[in-house]
Amino acid sequence: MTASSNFSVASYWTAVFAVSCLKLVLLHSYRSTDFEVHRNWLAITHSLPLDKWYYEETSEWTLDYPPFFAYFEWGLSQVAKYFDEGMLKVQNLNHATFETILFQKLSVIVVDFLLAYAVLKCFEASSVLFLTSDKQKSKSESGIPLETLFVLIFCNGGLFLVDQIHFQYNGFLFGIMLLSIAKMLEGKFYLSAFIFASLINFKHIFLYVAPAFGVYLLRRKCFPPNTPLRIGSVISSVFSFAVIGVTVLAASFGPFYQHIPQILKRLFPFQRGLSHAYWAPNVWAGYNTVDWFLNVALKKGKSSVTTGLVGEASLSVLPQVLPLHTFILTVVCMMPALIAIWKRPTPLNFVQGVIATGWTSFMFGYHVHEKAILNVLIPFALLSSHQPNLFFITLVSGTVSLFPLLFTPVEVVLKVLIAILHFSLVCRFIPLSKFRIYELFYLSGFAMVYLCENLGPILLPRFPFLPLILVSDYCLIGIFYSYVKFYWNFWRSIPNNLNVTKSKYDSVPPTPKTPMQFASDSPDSKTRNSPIKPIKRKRQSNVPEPSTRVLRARNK
Amino acid sequence: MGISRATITSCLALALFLRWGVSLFPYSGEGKPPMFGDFEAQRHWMEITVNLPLHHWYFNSTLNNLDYWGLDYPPLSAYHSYGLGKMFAKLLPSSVKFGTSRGFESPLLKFLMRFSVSASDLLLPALIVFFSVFKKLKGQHAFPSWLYITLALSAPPFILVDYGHFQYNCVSLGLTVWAVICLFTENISLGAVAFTLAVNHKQMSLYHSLAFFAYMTSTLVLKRADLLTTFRVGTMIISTLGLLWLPFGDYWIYVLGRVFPLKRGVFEDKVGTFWYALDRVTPIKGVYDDTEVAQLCAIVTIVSVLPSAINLFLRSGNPKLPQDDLLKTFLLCMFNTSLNCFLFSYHVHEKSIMLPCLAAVLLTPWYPKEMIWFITISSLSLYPLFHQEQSHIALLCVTSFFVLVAQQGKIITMNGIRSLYGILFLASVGGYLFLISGLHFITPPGKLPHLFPALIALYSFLHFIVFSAWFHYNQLTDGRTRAVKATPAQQGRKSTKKSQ
Repeated sequence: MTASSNFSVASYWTAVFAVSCLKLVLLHSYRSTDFEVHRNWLAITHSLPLDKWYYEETSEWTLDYPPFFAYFEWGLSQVAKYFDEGMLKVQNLNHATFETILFQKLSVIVVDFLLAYAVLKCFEASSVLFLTSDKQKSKSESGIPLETLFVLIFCNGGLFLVDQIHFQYNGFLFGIMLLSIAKMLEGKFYLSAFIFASLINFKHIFLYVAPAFGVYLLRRKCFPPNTPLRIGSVISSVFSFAVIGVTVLAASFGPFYQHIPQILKRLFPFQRGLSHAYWAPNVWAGYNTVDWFLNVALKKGKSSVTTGLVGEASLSVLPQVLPLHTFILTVVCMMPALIAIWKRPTPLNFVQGVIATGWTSFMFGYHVHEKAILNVLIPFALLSSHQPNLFFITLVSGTVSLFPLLFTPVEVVLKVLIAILHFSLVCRFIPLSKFRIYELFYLSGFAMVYLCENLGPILLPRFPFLPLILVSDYCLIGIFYSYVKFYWNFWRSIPNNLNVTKSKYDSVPPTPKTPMQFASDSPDSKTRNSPIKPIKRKRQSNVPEPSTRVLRARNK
Repeated sequence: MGISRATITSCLALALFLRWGVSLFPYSGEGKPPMFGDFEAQRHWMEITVNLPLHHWYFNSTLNNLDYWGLDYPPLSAYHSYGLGKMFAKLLPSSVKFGTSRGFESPLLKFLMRFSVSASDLLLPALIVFFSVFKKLKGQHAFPSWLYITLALSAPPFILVDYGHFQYNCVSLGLTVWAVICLFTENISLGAVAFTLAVNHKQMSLYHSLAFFAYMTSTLVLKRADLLTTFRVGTMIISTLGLLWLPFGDYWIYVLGRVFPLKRGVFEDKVGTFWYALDRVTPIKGVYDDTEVAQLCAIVTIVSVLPSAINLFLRSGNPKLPQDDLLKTFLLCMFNTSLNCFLFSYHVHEKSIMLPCLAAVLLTPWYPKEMIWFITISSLSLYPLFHQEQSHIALLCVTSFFVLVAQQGKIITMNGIRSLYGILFLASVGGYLFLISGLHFITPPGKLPHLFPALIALYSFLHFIVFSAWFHYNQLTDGRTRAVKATPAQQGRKSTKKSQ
């Protein structure tokens, strides 16, 4: 909220409380079926024994998150009983008394404080992101300003729409993810791995970004660059990670050891279609649209678009896409990002890799939900000052792509207000440069998209799906554009020849301020604190700095 | 500090977000037949004005039963209802159908009604313009303009009463602010018209009239002695009044009778006024004749507002006084007279505290701490009302947000327990919180079922009377004490930014 430069930690928490008040104002807003989903999970975990949790199907909203989330719901239910016992009965379908609503909405707001805490941690760790030897005096030395992170992440409009109105618990899950990223930036790799493994056991959608975490950990910890490979240390690090992973998995799935196939069946329902009922703006939305156009052009019978059943309808002209195809495509497209992390495992490249893998999964994954765009927007916020204009385009198209989730009259007004509030705040906090003319044209088009989306159903009641296609395809343009541009910039910032980089790096004298934590994982870490000399650094598993200058120049 | 377009956009979006968020809460009398509440009253007025000829609007007849939410606001309100009713007849005809629509409720109607409030909200733009126009005038540039705007736009009473409870106060209050803007940008006749319209939208605006009257007469007669302008202003006011009232022809007397009812008692429900407090000590309501009480109220009110008004009259006649100080005195007078009217006049609602609040909001640049405090306690004084309507959570949310923004802007500091202000503020708000939790968790003894609402009213009265005294003192001694006042900006600014 404030533009003042001394944004202390105390005023940070004041701001967090203020925004939490704003969240509570949405108490009586529209609630999607996800509200009932979570109420049902509260009831299941509270009233049934553990081994029935993943079998219970009185309600159609069966438990389909990993066990940690189930435990979390159980924990919530211990508080819920003081609000209204009624919500804890499995038979009470669609139970929504005032107390139930109050409890559920409050629970989202309260657990979001974890997100606030994680933002603080990211702020403290963020100074390593942009440390380049040629930018000592600039602001980037102290990382990203706290108020910027607060506005971009904690006040994220998309999170507001999805968590507070639509109703989900993404905020605190992203909190865990950011915490894991922060620990990674600090160089606490084992802790980070532990947190991330737990995160996946909360919600498996975070598997999207797991490759980036895995590759970075492997590279930094097991195969540190510029050091002779020592089998012993490799084995011990791999073993440590394995222990962490197995411990977390055991804590999560252990109590269910007899029912693991059933849980997996719930977690990965592949019988669903290629696209979610409302198309998330990924390549398959484009694919579906092309199919529809071809269908109309070739007059191949009734189009599925007009029936509004696209989610389950099959493609009529283009070849069918199976889960395996999307999987292979996703992995192939992730490869450059993973290679980049492997080649230059710097904190900056790690975060870029997290964004790139999450984004790739979103673009090519099977049955992707539109909400998964938050997987891109939240980590991208860490690099907003790095590529502000690109971030802004992604933010706008990503947030608008969530609009169709909310369609009741008051929420139609609220969603655009939330979005505008967030965008205008973001404008004040990131160093936007001038947009290109076509970017500006594209961004102003969103006003039309919003109008069409919400007036469409009134003006064209016969084609209920048409406005939704418009939203998802229009957002696709922006998201795809920034995806390609982001990925390209990322890839270009990694020189092909490592030797060239090394010599280039050696020519730049390092300063005392260069990242200490790079060395923090090296076995002989005692020599670290002295100003590092180039020759020593080679042996100290140090990593060449990212040549962000090149990237910045290209960005302009 | 300049105000960028992005800042204005975010302030506006935030203000609208708060308003639309609050509008999700129940309105007054939602689902409570047979009388419902103010929401139904407004809907009923649309039904009456659209379906009956003008003369019947304020006239009790078989067609128009005035006992069921009869029109009791001045003509501009009626025209406003008529305009909205015409629109509603197109969009949702059943909601204004004559007779059969009584008690009509539907989600769409709720949305449309909420939308109509938002569409007629003149206050929101007026506040933004006020703080943008007068940002150079201010004596103390202690805080950035965006902070004043954010605070003004998130002041809870205006949001809660209009968008939660359901009324159109934003029209008359907005017109009042526009009038202030016009008066102090040398558009006296336009200002006069705007204020006349405000009074004709809601008679409650008369609380502010003395300040306007004193300022305009003094400026026109004492300072300028400009007959032509005086004549022009007079003509404008009279023709505005004429346009509004002439259509009623001979029925104007019924309108007046409806607008100023004498039969509705000296106060409504539990409200923090002098008469309510006196009534607790020695019964007045229902004991004495209404007309006598009304006369007594009138005399006491007039006596209580005179000092402030005379002070303004004399000061605005002084041609040497800088515009800045003049505006401050004017707003102080507006605050004092409206607060005294609230405390002492006849038939006062708890919602009328919005009028002193409006002046308080405009005074924030000069008295940031005090006015934040005043607005906070006025909001909390409305708690019993919103508790009845099940929207107390909205009130608490918006009030906490308001206080937290003030704290974020370093206007008030919670860690300033050492300062007298911090102690007083926390103690007074703590008292409210105690009474509020009493309302929720303590069952009062059988004889006093409304103990806590009554205590809240009395506690508020205590605050209001102190504020009135304090700001009378401020206004009357203003010229003398100005020199020693320090800027509050430097206090409490701490840089505890955590370094890495």
